[in-house]
Amino acid sequence: CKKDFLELFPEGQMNEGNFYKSTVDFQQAVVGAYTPLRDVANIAFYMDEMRSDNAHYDYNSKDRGGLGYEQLADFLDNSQNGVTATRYQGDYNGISRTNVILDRLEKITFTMADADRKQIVGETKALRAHYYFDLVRHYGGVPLHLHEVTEKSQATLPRSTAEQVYAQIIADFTDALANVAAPKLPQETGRVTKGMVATELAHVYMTLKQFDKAIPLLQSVTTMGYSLWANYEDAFKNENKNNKESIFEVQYKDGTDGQSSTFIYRFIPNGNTLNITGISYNDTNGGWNYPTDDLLAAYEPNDKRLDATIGVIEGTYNANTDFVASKIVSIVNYKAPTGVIAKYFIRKYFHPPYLLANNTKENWPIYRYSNVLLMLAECLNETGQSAAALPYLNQVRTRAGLAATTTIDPALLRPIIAHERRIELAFENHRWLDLVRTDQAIPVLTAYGIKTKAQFGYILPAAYNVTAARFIYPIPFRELQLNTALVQSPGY
Amino acid sequence: QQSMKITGKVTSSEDRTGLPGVSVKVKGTQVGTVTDGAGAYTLTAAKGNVLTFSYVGYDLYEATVGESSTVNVSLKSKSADLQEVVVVSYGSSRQRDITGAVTKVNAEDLQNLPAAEIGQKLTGRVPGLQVNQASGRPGQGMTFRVRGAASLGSGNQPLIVVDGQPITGDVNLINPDDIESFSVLKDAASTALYGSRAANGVILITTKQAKSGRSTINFNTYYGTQTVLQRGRPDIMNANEFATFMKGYYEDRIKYENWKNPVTGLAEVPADYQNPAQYGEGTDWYNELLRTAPIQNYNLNISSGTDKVLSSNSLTYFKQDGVLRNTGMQRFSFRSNNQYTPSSKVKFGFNIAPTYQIDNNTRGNLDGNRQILVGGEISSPLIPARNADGSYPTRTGSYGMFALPNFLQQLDLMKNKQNSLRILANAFGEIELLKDLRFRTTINTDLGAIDQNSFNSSNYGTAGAPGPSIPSAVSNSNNYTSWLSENILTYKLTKGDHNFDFLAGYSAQKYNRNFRTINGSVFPNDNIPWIAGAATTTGTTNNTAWDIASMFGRINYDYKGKYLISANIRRDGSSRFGKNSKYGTFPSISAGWIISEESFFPKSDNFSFLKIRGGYGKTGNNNIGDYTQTSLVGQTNYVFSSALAQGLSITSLGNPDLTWETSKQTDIGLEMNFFKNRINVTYDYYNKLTNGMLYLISIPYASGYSSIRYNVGEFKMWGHELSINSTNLTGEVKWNTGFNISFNDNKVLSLQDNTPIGGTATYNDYNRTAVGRRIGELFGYVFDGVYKNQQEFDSQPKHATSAVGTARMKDINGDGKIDQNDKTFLGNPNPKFLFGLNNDIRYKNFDFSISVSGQVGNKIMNTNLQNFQNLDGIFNIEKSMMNRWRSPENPGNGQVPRTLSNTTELYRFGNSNWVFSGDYLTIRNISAGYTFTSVPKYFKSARIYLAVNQAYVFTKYPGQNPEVNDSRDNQTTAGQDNGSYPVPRTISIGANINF
Repeated sequence: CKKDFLELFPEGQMNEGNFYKSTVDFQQAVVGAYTPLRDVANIAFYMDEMRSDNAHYDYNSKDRGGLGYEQLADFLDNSQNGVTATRYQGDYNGISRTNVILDRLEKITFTMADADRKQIVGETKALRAHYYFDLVRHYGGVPLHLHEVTEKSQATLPRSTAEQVYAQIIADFTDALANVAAPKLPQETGRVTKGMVATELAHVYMTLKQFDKAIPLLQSVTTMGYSLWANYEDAFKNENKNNKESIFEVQYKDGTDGQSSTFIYRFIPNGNTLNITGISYNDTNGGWNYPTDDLLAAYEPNDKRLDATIGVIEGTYNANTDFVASKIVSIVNYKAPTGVIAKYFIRKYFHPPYLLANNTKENWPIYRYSNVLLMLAECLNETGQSAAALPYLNQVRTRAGLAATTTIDPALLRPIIAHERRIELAFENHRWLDLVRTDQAIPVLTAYGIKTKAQFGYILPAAYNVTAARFIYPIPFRELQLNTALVQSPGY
Repeated sequence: QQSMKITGKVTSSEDRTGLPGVSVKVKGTQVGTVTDGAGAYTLTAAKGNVLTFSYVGYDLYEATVGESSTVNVSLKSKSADLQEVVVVSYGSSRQRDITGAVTKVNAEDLQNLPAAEIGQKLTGRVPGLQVNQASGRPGQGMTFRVRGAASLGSGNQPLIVVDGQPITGDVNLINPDDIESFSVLKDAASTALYGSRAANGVILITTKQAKSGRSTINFNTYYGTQTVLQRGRPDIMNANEFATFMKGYYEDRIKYENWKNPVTGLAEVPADYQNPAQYGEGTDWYNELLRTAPIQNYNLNISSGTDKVLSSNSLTYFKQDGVLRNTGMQRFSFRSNNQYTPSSKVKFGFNIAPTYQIDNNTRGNLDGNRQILVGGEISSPLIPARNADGSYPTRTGSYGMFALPNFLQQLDLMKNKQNSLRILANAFGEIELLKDLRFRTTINTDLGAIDQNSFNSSNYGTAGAPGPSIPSAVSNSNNYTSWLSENILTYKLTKGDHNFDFLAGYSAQKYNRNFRTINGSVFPNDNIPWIAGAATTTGTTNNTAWDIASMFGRINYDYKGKYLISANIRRDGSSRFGKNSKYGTFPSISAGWIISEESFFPKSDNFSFLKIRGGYGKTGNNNIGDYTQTSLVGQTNYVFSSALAQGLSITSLGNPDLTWETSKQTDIGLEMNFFKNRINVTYDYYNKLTNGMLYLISIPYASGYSSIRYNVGEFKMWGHELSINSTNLTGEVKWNTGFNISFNDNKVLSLQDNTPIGGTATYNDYNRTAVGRRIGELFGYVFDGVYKNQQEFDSQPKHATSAVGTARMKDINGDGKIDQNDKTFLGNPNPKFLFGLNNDIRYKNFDFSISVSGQVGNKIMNTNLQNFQNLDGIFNIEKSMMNRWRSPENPGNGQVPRTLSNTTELYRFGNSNWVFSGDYLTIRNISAGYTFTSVPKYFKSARIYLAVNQAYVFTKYPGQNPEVNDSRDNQTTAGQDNGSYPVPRTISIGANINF
């Protein structure tokens, strides 16, 4: 036998032996570091929107397999929840991929052009910071992995404190800001830009209540060429992806190459989707993120955003209590005719026609420019510059067809900005985190819980016990079992 | 002394037919002959000469020539004979000389068993070999385990070696009719010559060869019918009971939850359930899915042997229809074994055995959680299986139930066919270089081509996603080649009382498999089941390979035939392991002492033989899949500018230090014969320490990966094996009994970081392997009744979702609340002992046999109870669920919780209610035969028999099959019953005809 008889490598797959050998390899590795954004975006609404007063769920008594999702909404979730574990895993997959790139970049034996290296380092660090920011807000202080794991012993770090994680996030975003390219508006690729880094770093400072540090960053974003679409709904149209109002969004495309999104199929009622999406498909995983009466009541009269955000699906129940949808109608001034069952759904991510079942190209927004304007307004108001805040706030209100706000009392302006964020950013996964960030989660959601329990007989008395311990989610049970150095967050 | 011509006939004492090819010799001379086709012989001898009659498989017989010139002899076939030749690693040996734990089984003894798989024949025959029928799927049911749970997740199946060739594909493609004998090698001393693949034991299969001087034509056939017994069928509600339950369910929802029917807007029980009395038994879905099914086999063997050429050819057709409708398998097999001996110094052989198997739907989603069989069981008994016009109702849920398709329709519509072609072939040449120095070279190939095509029509549906659906098709195919080259030198040396046997060998094996998957979807209609008709087609191809290169050697030594020593060594290199640890060395040594040969041992017929033997050795396991030593870079594509962007990332973490799992095993054995060898007793004790067991261990998600292949921990396994074979009667009535029993146990001594394996997920994670315990113990909550009233509720530990009347689990960790930290060990899925008892009785031309086997001490977790005890009003469920809590005044039997929304999940988690004793005793086979001795011309003999297989199962396990183990080979998830394919009783009639 030949000497290499026992040296076999997979022929159908790349392996570490033949990768990380060129600039292109590293650029492909950076692409791979974006992919986990989708793992998080696909399920984040259960934790970030459904837990808030914006969304509930369409109770499905025929299939209780979604109980874990419901428990997130009802504050009955525990450390074995599948969604919280998936998000945790998704964030760490992203972190691991960024760590691999940064570590292996140190060891390259070929020459890489400076411009390429800057862009690779910048995007990679921004993504790592983004994933850690997602983790720290949802799980508190987590293990701080900053290097590639190559063997099991490196996989069992203890938790760092939230402060340590935030320090790393700020350091990474600061590095990224110096390295990544400025946005090339009007049309972007979907990659990390200076606009994204400045916005998210400002968001980090706001979360730490360091509003003064956020202001210059946000102001820099206003000079990068971003602007609002004339119509609110245009911001969500597929033809306007990554365009002038978009700071950062998670990318999808339809087709059979595995890059599609399915958001709308999670948000519409279960049953055949022919009369909703135009494609006959038996949706068994819908009915989530159901707009609440509480949110509907929060819209000011004539707010143009209502029709763009929420729609109505009419239908009936058949003898088997299966919902049979008949058509979609506008929510504006809607009253259900007798004999018709009306269900709400999120319209932001609904842009037919579709070509394939359970397969859409809808992106998921992370930051839009209107959010930057509202963040800036909030920071100015919190730092005693309420008058300066108004123009930014009113840009958003004006587009929505609402009268400008004139209040300059910070205490009065604060809830007005918060309310504006709730409406403008509804179903974009900001509501729950905003409530926690602004210390409103306990009063708002306790009151909301009382109403909701009265409305739905199936909710247990123990539900909606909103305490400070519930501001973060538990570390997944699996992690605790596999890493004895971890300690569960109090209250779980 | 006057020489005279002696004539005579040699017959078999069993069936009185003439035995051709028997060697007849005048003792002490060169004079000899062999019998002809009818068993007749002629030779010249003198009065007083002793004639010896020898024939393979029969006792040596000696007759003294008297006055008569006719010497007729009847030869007795051997049973448990010390002279019997047993096939061992790279050779054969007399039973008395073997120093390891080896059990031989002659296939002849098993011919009454109608079986698709060789495993069905071996059940209960070999101490220490656990063969379970884990599933009734035709051709796929059997699992083997030598000496208990040997491995974690890298397979427990022993290495199967057919005529010296370690095979790589499916063992069940080997035709049971072609097998002459099995040798089961259990201890390290016996298996170490197979080195890195020997940790789970080795089964050597010898196929039928022609005998010199004997030409035979045999035809064997049987035909049987298979039926599923009533015992063990699911105890679920009939229509009346189910409607009554559902009526109460909605009454409670109205009472406790303010429920209103969304269809009518009224707070009243839905119409389906308002009047349960109108329903009778309703539909028994389980029964609808089953049928009585035939099984049949036809085997023709033609063999002929001369001094120079031995040739055996056989042709077999086997067909087993499944007891689940629309399922079944067929197998066509051919085997040709040929050996040429042009001179006494040279020998060549060519063997080829093609097999073609057609699996019709037996590879489909028939069983398992909410697949067809269980799906049918949870369907509403209120819905008829068929409409009055013969069509299928397409949904089988009543009001408010889970979305269920008609599983009878799904079964009848199923189109999933797998065609497998397998060719085993080998050629060898053997030459005597010098006296007693022989060189043998062999080249073996194992070729397989598997093609599976499935089509889901527009009526296809599954639980949760009933049809109609968009038609789709999948085509999976793969072909593999495995070639093995072996070169072996052997030398025999005898110096006085010292006998030496040397063996040295070199082998290289290469395995390569290409595989393809093509998916087709969006068919215009149901008329074209091939992907050619699909609008959308995607496909991929890939390949995998492994190599192994080995050197091995053996020395056998005996002194005066009573002191025996055997030493083996093998060195293997494998492509599967990391750079730093490619090679492993596996030595073993064993010794035997035949005490009964010693002069001090009292010569007595009552205690006729005594041997003690002991062995120690190291073996390995390399069953870890290919390429796990390397971190793999997988496609992680993304989208930029609305177009696909190629992304690549490390998606699986490799382990460059990965190496063999090694076992060190000690075996001590005792062999005793009593009463002129009529009773034969073998006892073995073994103790095995396995280090660095190969396992895909979970690691924290925080690493960016979910698992890594690792050499984890240390495990101890030990056990006792006893077998007794007895010739009870030898006269007119002949009666033989074989009994064996084996005790196996294991303990986890250490694990990586002592992190337990398994038991972390909410659902479908029902076993845990932890330090200080046995491998794969069942794991979950301990059910403790229900909170019968407010006072019980207030005073006892609660879960976050608990309410009065809901399930109470034991607060195992005593922290005052019930959560995932209260899961605990619920039982050992491995039996404490297993046993087999076989009896054969012959009287004149009648024969009768009965074989029984069983096991004791294992626990089974019926994971289907997550469906049958689901209290959400969405499935048909167990009758016992009627005794549920309704109110403090009507608390039921205190063992079944209420149906209150959002409280029922805890009761659906794996818990002690699902765990049952798996003890069983099964009457495997009863058969009775009659042999016709006066047969028409051209026939030599004919036997017909009647057999009942799986005649009766004695067990307390309420499920269908106490041998169930749905995770099959994965010991870390053992002991689960997901509702697998039922094992039928088979009644068959068969014939063995010799021409």
